[in-house]
Amino acid sequence: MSAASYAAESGVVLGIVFVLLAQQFGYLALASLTTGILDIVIGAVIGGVLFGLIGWALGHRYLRNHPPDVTPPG
Amino acid sequence: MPGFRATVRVGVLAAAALLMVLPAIPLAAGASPAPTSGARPTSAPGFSANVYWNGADVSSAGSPSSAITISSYASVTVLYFWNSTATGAGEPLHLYNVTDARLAMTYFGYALSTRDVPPVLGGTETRGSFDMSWNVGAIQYVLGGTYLVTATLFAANGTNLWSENFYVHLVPPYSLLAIVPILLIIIAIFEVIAIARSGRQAALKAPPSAKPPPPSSPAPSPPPPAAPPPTPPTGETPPTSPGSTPPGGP
Repeated sequence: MSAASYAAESGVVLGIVFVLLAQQFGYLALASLTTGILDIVIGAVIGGVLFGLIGWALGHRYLRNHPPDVTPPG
Repeated sequence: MPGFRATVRVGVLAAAALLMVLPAIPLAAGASPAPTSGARPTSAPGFSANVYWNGADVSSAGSPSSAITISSYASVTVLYFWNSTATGAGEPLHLYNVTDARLAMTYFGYALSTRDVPPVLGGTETRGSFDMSWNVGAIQYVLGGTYLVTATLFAANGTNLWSENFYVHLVPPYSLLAIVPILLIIIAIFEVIAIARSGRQAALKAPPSAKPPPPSSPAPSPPPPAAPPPTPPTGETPPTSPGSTPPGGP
């Protein structure tokens, strides 16, 4: 699993959690079933894309700081 | 770690399922579900009403940003005032038999909590009032946040005479101590940690380190070294075998 997909997976969960937490702290009202589910789906998509990009960047940084141990043949 | 992540995912699904199923569980008095529409319903012609939530007119809380803030453990007094209004010049006032007032808290389209004033067996009137004492009940230990509340007045035959939607912001004890927000915060912390460690996944996906090729002349691998003979006991001479050189020989 790549760093991007790994982080995107967590980002989907974080997006859903963020929407539910926003409702719990009074910034959002999930009164209607349709708009409530729509808000959750939007949060999941945004979280997946955003944290997928973050994971991609983190993966590149990790490989830059910890290059694989490649020994030239011969 | 993957097992732990799977456990967290199962926790998220369980929390989401709980949030979806919870509204269907009747936690408070009241039977029938509340209207699920978020739009402001219309009232019957010639009928108007006002509802006061601890003295505040609920018509001023028509949006989540202007929600009425209440502490979850506090009891709320809700006053309903209704009156018949003339529909035209010279028209007599309509007479209504209002027998029930209902308050319903809506979440994901379902009535999370409903409360009814006990039915009043009265005659037809041109004005009247109800008062209701309302509290959140057991939900205060589970949920917080902003909710749509619908106040409704019913006629004796069950007709919806008037209703109004408004928003309340339910503050759990100490602003946080409810099950769902605590669970969500814990899940968010674990997911943030997982994202912070996601860079290492790139190393797992990177090509494996190249090993130097084996020697060009493949030689048969030598046999494993023979195990040393067992040490003889002290004071005994080890048995000699044919062809072997005794110790101390030439």
